[in-house]
Amino acid sequence: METGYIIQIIALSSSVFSAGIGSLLCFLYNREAGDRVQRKLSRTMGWAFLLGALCWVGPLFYVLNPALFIGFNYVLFPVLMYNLVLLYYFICTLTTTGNRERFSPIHYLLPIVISIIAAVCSALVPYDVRYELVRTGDLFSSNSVLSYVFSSSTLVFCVYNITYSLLALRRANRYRRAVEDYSSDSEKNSIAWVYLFIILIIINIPFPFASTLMNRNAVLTSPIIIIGAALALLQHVTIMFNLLSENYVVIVPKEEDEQEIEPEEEQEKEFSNGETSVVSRRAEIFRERFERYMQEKKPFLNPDLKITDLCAGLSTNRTYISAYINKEYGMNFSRYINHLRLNEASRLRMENSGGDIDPVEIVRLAGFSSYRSYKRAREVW
Amino acid sequence: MTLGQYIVFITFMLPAFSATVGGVLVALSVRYSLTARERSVKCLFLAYFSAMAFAWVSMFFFYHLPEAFVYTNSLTMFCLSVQPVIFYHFFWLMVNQVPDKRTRFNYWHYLAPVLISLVLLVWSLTVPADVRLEMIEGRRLFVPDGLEIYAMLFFSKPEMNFLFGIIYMVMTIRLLLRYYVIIEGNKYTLRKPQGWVLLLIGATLCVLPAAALGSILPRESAYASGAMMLSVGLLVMQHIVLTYAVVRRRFMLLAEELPVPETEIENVESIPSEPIEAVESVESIEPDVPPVPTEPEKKATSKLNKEAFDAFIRREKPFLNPHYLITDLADAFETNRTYVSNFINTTFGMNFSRYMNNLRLKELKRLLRLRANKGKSPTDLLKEAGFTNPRQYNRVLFVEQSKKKKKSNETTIE
Repeated sequence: METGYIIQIIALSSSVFSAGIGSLLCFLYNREAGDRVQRKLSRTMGWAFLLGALCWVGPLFYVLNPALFIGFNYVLFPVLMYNLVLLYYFICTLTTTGNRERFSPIHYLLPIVISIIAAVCSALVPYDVRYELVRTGDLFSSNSVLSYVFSSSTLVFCVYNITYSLLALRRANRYRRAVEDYSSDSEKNSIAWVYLFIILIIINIPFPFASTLMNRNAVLTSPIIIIGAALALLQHVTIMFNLLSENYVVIVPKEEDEQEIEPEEEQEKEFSNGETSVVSRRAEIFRERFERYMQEKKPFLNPDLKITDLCAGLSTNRTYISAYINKEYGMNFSRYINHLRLNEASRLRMENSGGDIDPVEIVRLAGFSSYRSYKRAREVW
Repeated sequence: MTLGQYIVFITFMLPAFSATVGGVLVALSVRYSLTARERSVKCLFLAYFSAMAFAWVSMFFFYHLPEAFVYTNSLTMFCLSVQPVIFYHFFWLMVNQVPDKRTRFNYWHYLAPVLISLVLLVWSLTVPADVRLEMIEGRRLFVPDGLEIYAMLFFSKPEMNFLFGIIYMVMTIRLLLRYYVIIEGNKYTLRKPQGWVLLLIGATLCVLPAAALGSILPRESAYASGAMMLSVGLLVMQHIVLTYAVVRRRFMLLAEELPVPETEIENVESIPSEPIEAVESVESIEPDVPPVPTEPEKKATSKLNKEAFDAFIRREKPFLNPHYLITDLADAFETNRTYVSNFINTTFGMNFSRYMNNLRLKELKRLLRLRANKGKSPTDLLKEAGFTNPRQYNRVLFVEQSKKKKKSNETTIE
């Protein structure tokens, strides 16, 4: 066997198996995940990994044996599309911004329609023609539209990939703005890994895209395939690691009763022209309560403090607290809490003039989840 | 290539894939270690997975790329013979948590694998590469004249792996059994190994015969046999279980999460360290001590002496509340925070938070000694003692132990 052929098969297999292992790990985690959201995330990702493994089985079969690929082609279409849909669903679950939203059924229906069309078209092409198409890898040898559809899986993949990556990017951007007002743990707030993950999805495009334009066998034997496999491995590992070590914050949907209070605030604003004294006195009382609460209870000492944790103590809702902090201190929740933690850290350092506690410990005692998140907070200030 | 051929072809690469994925995941999680011990366990696993991945890639070379195998042989020998040692080392780290019986790991264990592979490496350098290539392509049947012993060593990897595997497996099991005896012996309430550890040992034991398979059967038939596939499957499972355990910090539960805190609180002798009886005697004293908060303010500050303070701590046990603050203490004595803080610093030689955490450690020690708490979840006991979560506990224990070590070092230097 040629060395090049061996490397080609191993590169393709490595992606198949790393996705398979990812799927197993996700389902293992699913069995003991704590809350509903974690279970949902791990279940979604488990299936997405399984479909991801099947996606890579496509090119693998293509290389191994044309007959295998022809049989598998019927499955390949729905697998490619549903893989991306599930990845998008995963990102949607991860980046809810608090409003209750439904995942549109069109995401599920469209792939069914496309794969039925593809299956019918493929079945209409004679077997010999399909075999020749796969063996030579030359897409343009026959001029029938049906045979184009037969080998259009990579094109469908490219279109789906670009569409869903853009959708996911939009979600991630919206989430990034919302989470700062929700959670104070800057290490988990940073969804850098979600961006990395989306970028890794997008980067995968050139390889299937090239194979829609050029001879497929030429693409599959080129060194691009090793890069593609390495990127896939990186993508799988990124998501496995961050999911398993719970390196994310999911914003809990707002309660129904919160929506009812909001009009009241609107009223307050209307009144503010006429009866300033009443409103300002009310705001004064709240400020007093808020500052006393912050000083006495020191909620910021909890590294994974969320804005919802303050609601009970201040007997108000999170929209109000968020708006209050924004108006009063001119910064978002996360930044405000980290400001308090920085003050606390410097206080602790003063108290600890004897040097009993090491600096890392002080930072943790002040409510930072790690030294890195402390450094990050200090940079912002 | 048909599907059947492909499966036979890829079999040897499967453990390499799973070890690679496991290795990368473990490498990522090293950064997030909480304690130095956790970091060393993770580094150990990183070494284990790297050795595994390399060994199996090299085995794959043996069958499909003999030219490459000529150069990887000595290192493969090292990887295969060292991985049972690493496995043993890991269990040793997990079990070596029982107080009074803590020792240092004996690094001489690593000597034998290093020596054997060094001998093979040096010897291989004297044999021309094309002779070695011929030996590989002739499988075991071709032995050049005058190199019989070298050929034996050259092909002895499966036997070595089997030998080391058996020896270190027996040692691991002995280690675990001894550990069980200690925790059964009523003295300590350490957490028992969980199901996944037994699963791990079972899978590793099942994989062992596969190594011997290669030397008993002719290689080609051993290679494609069902037994080989089965053992490869088990090995992959072992890797996945290990990876999961490491990334989810499962190995911590075995012992790290709850060793009996051995930190003695040097300056806080007056706190009851003995269980129930002491507590009862304290309660009987209670009426004599006037309730502090009702004292007039001026007297209260003067009342803030060691006796009153200890009595208050004993009676109220404020450390049981994980969110207790120094201001609460100041309120109780009707004085201000600075004063209480200075008082604790001068009287006990540590700051408020460390003082509270020491009391919590002491309380946990007491709780662990109680018969009634035997078999209770360690996390619950931690919370009962006033810690918010196991993480905080680990941190406190780590800080205290490192302090103690520092202190003992200083005294020895003096």
